[in-house]
Amino acid sequence: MELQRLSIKLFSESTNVKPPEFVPVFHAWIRNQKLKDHLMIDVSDYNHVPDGPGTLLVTHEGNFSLALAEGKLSLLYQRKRFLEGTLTERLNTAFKALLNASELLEQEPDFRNRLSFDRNSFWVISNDRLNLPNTDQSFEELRPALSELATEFFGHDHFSLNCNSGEKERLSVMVESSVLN
Amino acid sequence: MSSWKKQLASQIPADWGKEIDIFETQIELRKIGKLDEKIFAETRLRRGVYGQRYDNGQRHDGVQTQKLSYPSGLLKGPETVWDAPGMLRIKIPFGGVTPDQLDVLAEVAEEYSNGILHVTTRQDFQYHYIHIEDTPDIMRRLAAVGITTREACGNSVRNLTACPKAGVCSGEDFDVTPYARALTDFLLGHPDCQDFGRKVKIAFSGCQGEACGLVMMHDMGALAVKKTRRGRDIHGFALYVGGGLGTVPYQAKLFDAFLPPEELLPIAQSIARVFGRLGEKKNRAQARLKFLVAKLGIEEFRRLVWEERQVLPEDDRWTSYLEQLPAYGEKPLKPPSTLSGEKILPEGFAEWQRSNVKAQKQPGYAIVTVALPLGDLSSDQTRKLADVVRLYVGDSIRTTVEQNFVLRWVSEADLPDLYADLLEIGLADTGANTIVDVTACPGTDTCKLGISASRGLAEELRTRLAAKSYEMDEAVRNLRIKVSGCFNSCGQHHVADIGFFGNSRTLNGYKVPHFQVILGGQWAENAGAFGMTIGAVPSKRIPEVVDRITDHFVHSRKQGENFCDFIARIGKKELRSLIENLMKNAPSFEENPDFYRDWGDPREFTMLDRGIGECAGEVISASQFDLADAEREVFEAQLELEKKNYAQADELAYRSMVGASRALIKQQYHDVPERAEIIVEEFTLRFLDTELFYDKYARGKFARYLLQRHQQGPVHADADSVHQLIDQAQLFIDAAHACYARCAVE
Ligand code: SF4
Repeated sequence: MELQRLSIKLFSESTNVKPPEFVPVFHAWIRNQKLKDHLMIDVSDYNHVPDGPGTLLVTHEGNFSLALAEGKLSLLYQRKRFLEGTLTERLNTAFKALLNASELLEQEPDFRNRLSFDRNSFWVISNDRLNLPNTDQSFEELRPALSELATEFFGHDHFSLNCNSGEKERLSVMVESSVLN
Repeated sequence: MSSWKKQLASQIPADWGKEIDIFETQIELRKIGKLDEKIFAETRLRRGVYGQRYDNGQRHDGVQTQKLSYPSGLLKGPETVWDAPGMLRIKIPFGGVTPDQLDVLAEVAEEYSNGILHVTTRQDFQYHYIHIEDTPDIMRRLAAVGITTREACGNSVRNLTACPKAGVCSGEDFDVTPYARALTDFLLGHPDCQDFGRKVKIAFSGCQGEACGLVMMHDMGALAVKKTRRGRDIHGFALYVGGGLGTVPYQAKLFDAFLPPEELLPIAQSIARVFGRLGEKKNRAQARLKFLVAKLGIEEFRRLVWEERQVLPEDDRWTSYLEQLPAYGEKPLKPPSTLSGEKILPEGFAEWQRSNVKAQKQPGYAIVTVALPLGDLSSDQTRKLADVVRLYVGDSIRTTVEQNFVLRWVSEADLPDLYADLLEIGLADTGANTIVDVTACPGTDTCKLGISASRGLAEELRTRLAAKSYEMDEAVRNLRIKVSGCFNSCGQHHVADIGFFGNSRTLNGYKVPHFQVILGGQWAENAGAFGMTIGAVPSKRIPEVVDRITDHFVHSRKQGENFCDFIARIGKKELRSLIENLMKNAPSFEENPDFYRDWGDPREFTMLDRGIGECAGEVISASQFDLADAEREVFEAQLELEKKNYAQADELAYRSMVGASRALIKQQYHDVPERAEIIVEEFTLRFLDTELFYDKYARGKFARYLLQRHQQGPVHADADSVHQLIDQAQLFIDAAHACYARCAVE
């Protein structure tokens, strides 16, 4: 499958940090070249848009954004540029970028003890309606790669994959561990 | 592998599809260095593909300038790095958009951009953070629902704007929509609009008194005028030319007080020809139509245009649309109704209704403004808004120059439910068309030319003013604030009651973001007057400026005096004294470092991120475009040869030589016919017989390749002959380039 543009999302466990607080943090990341494998370009603030991307760190490879969705803070990685390898490898690369960013954010002095991401579940979103539209068939095509990714990440195979995105939305799958950490 | 090209082939109009294919080839040509960077820059601009801040490969991080090391060293224009994210502008003629189009716009925003659609002050949409190589597919997806990006930027006719209330406004003389549509279609890609020194902006308005069309600040503005003759209504246009904002604003001049509709298109074409021929090309700062009109004087300009009109070749399209006019009209989805007093109204409805709802000229219907903070909405909101539109009004929605949407034909009894639905998707902000509804250009967020953070300031003002809007004096409530990030006026600050444009000053040895304060611009009467410059104030003190000015207005205005008259009466001196102490007495950096930063940007302020703007585009002559096209055709011939499509390869190679000849002829006269016979004949006459085409060493040798193929016909019997023809075509085009350069010098 030629899926190249994909997004992965984590939710935070509680919402003690508001998206605009990430603006100065991302500026500092750019200044200090915090992400070694991304060419960081700029920070954009869309917090005036309900259900928008919130605070956005724009990089050449993909964008990181922190927004409030359904009352929860989410961290989304939107991969934009071409990734090498099989679908599983591509998912893995994107997921690693997301996890790395989530850890770095948790370690930020301003957010210490205020921010922690829930790693019992994550969302994978197809950003490509041509190669992976929102259909049952696409979900099934994606399932093996997602299962592989989930098994490796959770360290077991007790998880569920659920897809309930609306008809016009992108294919979006929630991967959730049934073993609580 | 599937592709959007294949998937959407049957849904894209053939000519649009071909244009997009050509653009995709031009991208490839640029990548392999076969298309000049300047020609490519203007080519992509004319397809709506624009630069964005930091695309010169560097960014100041608040301490120092860092190099942005993009993977490819290639450029997509002067000092514009190939891989740098860019902007894509999407034309929405007169702001008319359908729910199906909104759905696709939303999809594209989330798949290729950042999930945001931005409505501009010209009723366009803009996407940011787009990679140039994604643009052909984006264009295809948009084209499949009838949207083009063609000529959205560059030296071309930009998106044509019109009152968003056209057809439903009680004050209009008549609905300008079908005329605006006809002129849009007529001028899009028109050969007479390809040789401008700068862009041309056109607007339509349904009446004189309101602001919606902003006719007076346009290169060309058509104002609906209805007359009665022998008991019959006759429609015409008061046509204005030579207006414009920019650094120095110009009010448009009356070209014709009553231009009949059948003359609208030919006169627009004649104006385009005169501007193309006589407009400034070298000095970009003097190249807009307003300078030509000012230089010639309106009488001489008018004379030249009418002279041109007399020699224009007839075109059926000038009047063919007029036959459809009687049938034109929007059909409401629902029957008219009234909002009964018994209905339980949702909380907040009354306030929203007061600011966002206006009665329509058709009884029982209302016009609803959906206010967008900073002109932004998310993909998710866009999709849900499309459903709301379908549910309540069918497809009658338009964007506005105030960066909002209006829904038309809302059956009045539906208003509470519509409000509740908009509230659910975060689109029920009150204060539309009031002081809270601040307009802003992209400024330093994404614009290469931005000096100050117009959006940051607009958001700050919006938040503060919204918080006190309930206690606001009615006279203040109805004022307009508009912010531009620099003197170029994209935020239309000249025509706001309170306008700002970004600049900077050095205070205590540091650069400090400032905004120049402009007061008393006239939004009404189609932007009837421009504001007065008062002074530059540090960015962080602008909210205080707004408070002082509005307080002074409330307390010192005469009975019934409006803001413009008030500003004119009290004059610059008093206004300046009102804000003078805000212009001075900066705190030290140590005392208040925040003073030295701009709104929404924690970096220390700098001017070092400003790049070279692309608004002015590149001046590329029609001949240069034709030569680039010839290059593309010979490249495509090569591709066809590789696919063993000899006949196509042969035809393309031949066409490329004919095209290059046409480019040369165009240097001498504009209306070169399309037919190969005539082109070859003209080429022989003008370039061979005169020896203009002759090279010092090869003499006329390369011209013989064209003549030979032209006389002998196709050579596609075998791969070798086609290969040879392609080589010859390439040599011919190289010689044509050399000839063009020699003639240009002479
Ligand atoms: S006014 Fe200046 S900053 Fe704003 S969009 Fe125009 S050129 Fe850019």
